[in-house]
This record gives sequence, structure tokens and C-alpha cells, in this order.
Amino acid sequence: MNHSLQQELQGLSQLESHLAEVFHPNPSRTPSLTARFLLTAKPVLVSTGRTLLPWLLPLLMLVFWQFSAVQGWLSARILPAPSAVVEAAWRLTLSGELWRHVSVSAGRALLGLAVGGGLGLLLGLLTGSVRWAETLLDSTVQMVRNIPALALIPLVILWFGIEESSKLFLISVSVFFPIYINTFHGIRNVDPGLIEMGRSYGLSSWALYRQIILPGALSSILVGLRFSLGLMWVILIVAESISAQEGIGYMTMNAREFLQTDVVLVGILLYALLGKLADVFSKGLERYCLRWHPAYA
Amino acid sequence: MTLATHFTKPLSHQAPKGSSGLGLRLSGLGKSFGNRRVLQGIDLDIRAGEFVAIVGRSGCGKSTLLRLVADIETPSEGEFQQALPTRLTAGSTAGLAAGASAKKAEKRIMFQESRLLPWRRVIDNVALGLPLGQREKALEVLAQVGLADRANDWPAKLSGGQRQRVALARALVHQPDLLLLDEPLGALDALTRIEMHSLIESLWLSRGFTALLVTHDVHEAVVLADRVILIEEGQIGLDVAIDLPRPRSTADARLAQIEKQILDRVLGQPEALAPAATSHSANESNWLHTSAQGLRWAI
Repeated sequence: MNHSLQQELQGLSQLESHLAEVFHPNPSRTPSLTARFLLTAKPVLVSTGRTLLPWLLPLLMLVFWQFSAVQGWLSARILPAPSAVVEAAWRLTLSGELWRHVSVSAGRALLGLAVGGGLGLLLGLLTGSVRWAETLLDSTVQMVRNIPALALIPLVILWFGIEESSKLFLISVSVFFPIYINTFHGIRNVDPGLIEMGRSYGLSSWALYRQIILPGALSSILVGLRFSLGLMWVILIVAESISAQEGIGYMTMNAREFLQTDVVLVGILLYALLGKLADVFSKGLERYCLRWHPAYA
Repeated sequence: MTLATHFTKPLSHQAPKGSSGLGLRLSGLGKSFGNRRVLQGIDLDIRAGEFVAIVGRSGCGKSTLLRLVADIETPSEGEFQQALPTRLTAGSTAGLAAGASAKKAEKRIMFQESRLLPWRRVIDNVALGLPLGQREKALEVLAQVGLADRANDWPAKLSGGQRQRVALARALVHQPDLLLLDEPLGALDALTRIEMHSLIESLWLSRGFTALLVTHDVHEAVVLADRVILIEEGQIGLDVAIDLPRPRSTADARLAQIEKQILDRVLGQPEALAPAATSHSANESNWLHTSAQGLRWAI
């Protein structure tokens, strides 16, 4: 009897120590299942945390904004709720209005870029490659460059009225200069050693231009394009605010008159989105065209 | 500058290998930049297929001499004539002047920097200036310099030595009659240089072009060249024939002796070789006696 009690006590103390181990695991022994899970999951958690963390603050702000609007702290006239903005965007998409305005605005911007950027590229190539063209043209271009494009608005309205051509002119003028200057410098900064090598390897002038000078100037030309794209949207916004019958600018100015703040916000967000899109595009172009460059590889 | 298709005097020497190299005769060649006279009165005959090294202190005008021969610069005075290799003149029996004018000697230069186009892949760099559809030829030469497996890499991915090998392949793909080397190994480390020496030597031996190497490294000159020319203050100071068997061992005492003698002269040591102010007309007769053994004083 005594013996069996002893056995029982022994068994209890064994159980106790086993339980103690479960609840207070000994760190010197192999890690428990949870610890092992935490160890392997840690890098994954850190990396997802790093990608999610930058979005935390915008998300909180959005939540707070929505909350304030719902609580009535913000009047819909000052700042409608995010949900109302999304709703307005959806409404405009369904009616086809959104697409029409976006396509008109983007068409204006791209046409202006094609005209102004194309001329800037051609003139930059000319003054960069031909010495007398630089002497003849460059100082004039540099003088005109100092006039802010927006300062021309009154004159442009007098010349072209308030129709499409005035908007096109403003955008073209403003995107011309970044592309011109960067093309010119790009051509001038092509490694003279490479040009000398090309000549002594018997490349014709055209082959030299196409195979050495243009690729050598390309990174600089693309920098000019990126500057121009940024400027293009700014000028577009201003030009569309002057007067327009179509376009994102028209949509927002019109909404302002009817106190549709949600539509105004949709317009602003659209500009931001288009700007971002242009940036992504130019970055992608750089990454493709300059893939030989260690900085882009 | 006149470029004659053949020398006024017949070439007295054939290249040792009966090669396809270009012979050169420089007479009274000089170059000035503004008031600064970089080279003057250079008289030099280079046999077809010869490997000539030009050494000298920096700024002595050795690179300018190479650039004159490469047609990158035009001489201010004097002229140089080129004797077309037999590869081009043979067959046109009707008359050298008429027949050969249509054919052009191929001269290719290799610079101190590789000057590869960073936006073209290695294989397209080698094929620079080749007619389209000759990629196989480019690949073949690339294999000869041991870089066939890097054909589709960007030059930025290569090491300095590899880039110079690509530059060498780019020069050789045109099968030059004259290869001009403007300190091409100057920026490489010692081990890579030794590898490049044997590569250049073996390609020169197998192809038989004329080679003109500008270097500031006397050792390199002595190891590679048939003849070492020292330029001092724009003039030829020494003309030393190196008649040692190839491949040359750097441990060869005779090599070390010649190297020391040239170095002493470069550094202006008193026991150095006698000054070369004797006469320029001696050059003419040396042209006819290039088989002299060991050291040879040309001027």
C-alpha cells in the first residue's frame, strides 16, 4: 500500500515536470513547435511587413476621412467621403463621360508631346551634330527658353482664341525645351573616343550616327522625355482650366459650378493617375532602351 | 601625304613568313599641333609582317606616330608610303598602280581603352563594320580570343582584360594587313598582360599581319617585338632588332640585357647606348640589312 502511494506520487511529480516543460519550455533544448513556426515565419513576416507598412498611413487616413464624413464632421461640399468619390467615378464610367474626357485630355497631351517633343528632338539633333546650326540657333533657343510657357497664355488666347490650337500650342512649347536641351547635350557628350573608333573602323557617316551617336545620346534624350512628360500634364491642367468643352479640366470646372465636389476629386485623381502612368511608361522605356547600362540592368 | 600603292624602290625583303602584312615607309614624317612640334623627321621602314614596338616616355610622340599611320591624324610634314601585301597585289599583273588602287589595305587600331560600344552585345561589337550576315565570322574570331561563350553579354559585364580581348577580336575580324596597338594593355593587371602577350603573339604568328605596338613598357616591347624603336623628343632615338627565338622566355638573360640597355637609355643613364645623333641616312642602308643579329643601331 505504502509502496503504491509512493509510485503514485512519483507519477504525479513526473506529470508535473512534464506540464512545467509544456508551459515553460526550456530554451536550451530544441525549440518547441510554436517557436519553430515563429523562426521560419519571421523573414516572411518581415518582408510582407516591409511591403505593407508604407500603405498603413494612407489607409488610416482614408479610414479617418471616411469616418469623419460619415460622422458629419466634414461637409460633402468641402470634402465628400471616399466612398462618394468612388461612386461618382463609377457613375461617370457607366455614363461613358469619364472615358470621353480622359481620351480627349490624353489625346491633347500626346499630340502636344508629339509636336513639341518631335521638334525639340529634331532641332536638338541638328544643333548637337552640326556646328553652324548650333551657332545659328542655340542662343536664340536659350533666350526663348527663359519665357515661362504659362506667361504666354494671354498672347496665345489672342493668337489662337480659346480653341484646341491654343492648348496644343501651350503644351508643345513647354515640352519642346526639356527634350531639345537634353538631346543637344546627349549628342555633345557622346564619348569622342567611340566616334574616333567608329571612323577608323570605316563606318559611314550614317552608320556612325545610327550606331554610335544616337545610342550614345539616348539616355540623355530619355531624361528629357521624362521631364517633358511631367511638364505636359501640368500645362494640360492649366490649359484645360482656361476654357474647354471637353476633357478632364472641363469636367472638373463644370462640376465646380454645380458644387459636385466628388466629381472635382475624381478629376484630380485622374490627373494624378495619368501622371503616374506616364512616369511608369518612361521608366519602362528607359529600362528597355538602356538595358545594356549597369545602372538599369 | 601620298599613299603610293607600292614603294618607288622595290621591297628588298619579304616578310619572314611570306605573310600578308603591309609594308610601311615613313620619310621625314612630322606632326605639329599649333606651335608645338610633337614629331619631326621620322624615317622608318617597316617590313611586311614585322612586329615593331615603339617605346618612349609619355608625351614623346609615340602615340601620335601611331595615329598618323592609322590615318586618324594627318602629317604636318613628310609622308608615308604603304606597300600593299602580296595578297592584294598578286593577280593584278596589268599594273600595280591601276589594279591596286581599287583595293585598300586594311588597317585596324586597338586603343588603350577597349572602346567597345556599351549598347551592343559582345558579338555585335566584334561585327562592327562588317557586312550584314557575317556573324559566324565574328563568332569565329571571338572564339580565337577565347570568349565565344560571352558572345551575348553586354560589355559592361566583362572584366578589363576580357574587354581588350573583344577589342582585339573586333580589330582582327577585318583581317587587317596592319594592326596598330596603342598601349592596349596599359590598364591591365600583370597576369592578364602576360596572357594577352601570348595571345597577341600567337595570332600575329598565325596570321602574319604587320604589327605596330606603342607601349611604355619596355619589357612588353622586348618580349613581343622583332624590333624596338625608342622615340625621344619627337625623334627616333634607338632602333634595336631583337633576334631571339619565340616564344620568348622572360627569364632569358639576353632579353633582360636588351631590356636593361633600352631602359637605361630611356632613363638617361650615363652607361647607356650611344646617342643616336649620327646620321639619318644610315637608316636607308639598314633597311637593306635587317638581318643583322642581336642589337642593331639604326640611326
